Amino acid sequence: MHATARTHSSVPVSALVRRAQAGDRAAFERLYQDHVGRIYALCLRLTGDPEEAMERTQDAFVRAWHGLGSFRGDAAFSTWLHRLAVNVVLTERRSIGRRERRVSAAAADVGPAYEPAPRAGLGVDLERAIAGLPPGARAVFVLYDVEGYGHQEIAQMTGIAAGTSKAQLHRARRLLREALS
Amino acid sequence: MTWSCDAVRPRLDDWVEGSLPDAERREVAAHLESCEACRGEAAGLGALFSATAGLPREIQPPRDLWPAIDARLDEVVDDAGEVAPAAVVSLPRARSRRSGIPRWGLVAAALALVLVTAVATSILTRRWDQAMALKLQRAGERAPTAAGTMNDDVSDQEARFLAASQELLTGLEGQRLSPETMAIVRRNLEVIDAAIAELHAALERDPGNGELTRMLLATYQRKIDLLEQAARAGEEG
Repeated sequence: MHATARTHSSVPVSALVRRAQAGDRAAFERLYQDHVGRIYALCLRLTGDPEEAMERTQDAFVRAWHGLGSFRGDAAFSTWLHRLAVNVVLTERRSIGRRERRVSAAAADVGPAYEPAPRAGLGVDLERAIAGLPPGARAVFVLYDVEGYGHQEIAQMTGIAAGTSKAQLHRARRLLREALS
Repeated sequence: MTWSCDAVRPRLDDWVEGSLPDAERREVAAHLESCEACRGEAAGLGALFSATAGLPREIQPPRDLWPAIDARLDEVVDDAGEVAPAAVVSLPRARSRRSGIPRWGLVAAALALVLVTAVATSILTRRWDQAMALKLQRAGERAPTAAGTMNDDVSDQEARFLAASQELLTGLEGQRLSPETMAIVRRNLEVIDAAIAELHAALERDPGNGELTRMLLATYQRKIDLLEQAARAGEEG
């Protein structure tokens, strides 16, 4: 596991965001410390690969730094950052899909690339099973069942129809039940 | 007559989530009372939902990502989310001064002049551009092969970018920019030229890659934009 302990800032998030918007990197670092666990978990489950998840996590925070000017505070910062991270991962996955299709006919459906840290039984099995899902089903399952987005939101984010999102979710749940049985 | 398994199974997800309309919910419930197989399916779904709800909300990455993030915070991201080479810094906006002095002759008397630095920078950069232009010329002279040469269209565009940047650099030599501004320009040009070199190397390994080609041309455009911005900064004094 990593050496850096996660810290919780005693300064309100809104104050840190304002300071970060003014260019205060130390304030942004504290926002990073408070939110990296959440964002990395999202990226890890969406990508199924720790290295790629770390790359996307970095990308998300860099994009957040540059996009702070557009954050108006209408939603919670964590919600805004989370949505940004989803877009970062999905955009990159689409690029990866295009590159893989160019290189070979064997494209995106790859098995799990990481072993979850040892935790209580079913949780470990479930993380492993999620990582083993086909990418489309995995994305919908993570966004709907793990992260709580609705099918319309998922459709907007992924470019698929809401009906396709439902079908992918159903498929994901069936595959996960088979993997865990 | 109660619903069949075929009618119930597709609705089990919604039933477990509690999102079925009342009439359908009652039909599913009635079927489950007598169908062990469907009860097993429903129980499996319930267990999956419970396990999913129990997943940790946060997972710490295997290493601290902040140093890498911090190193990238000076990157420029355009509206399309494309990242320019690292550390391309915006030039300071110069005060506008209407003096009637022709464009390339504007001199800000209050600013320090580091002519040698400015000339040295543009000479170094022009040498790089001249080397790239020669490389393009030689590439065009070689017989096209399956790997290793860009198509003529891209070579033409690149040649035009190089010509434009050389013209702008020549113009910059005649301007008196502040040492701070010249330092920013020089640093940004180094970063952009390094990115162009990397993209060329990547294209040599993967010739005809449309995405790399697009990035290369976009990076050339950024170089032009930077030089034009520097020219305006010198003009406004």
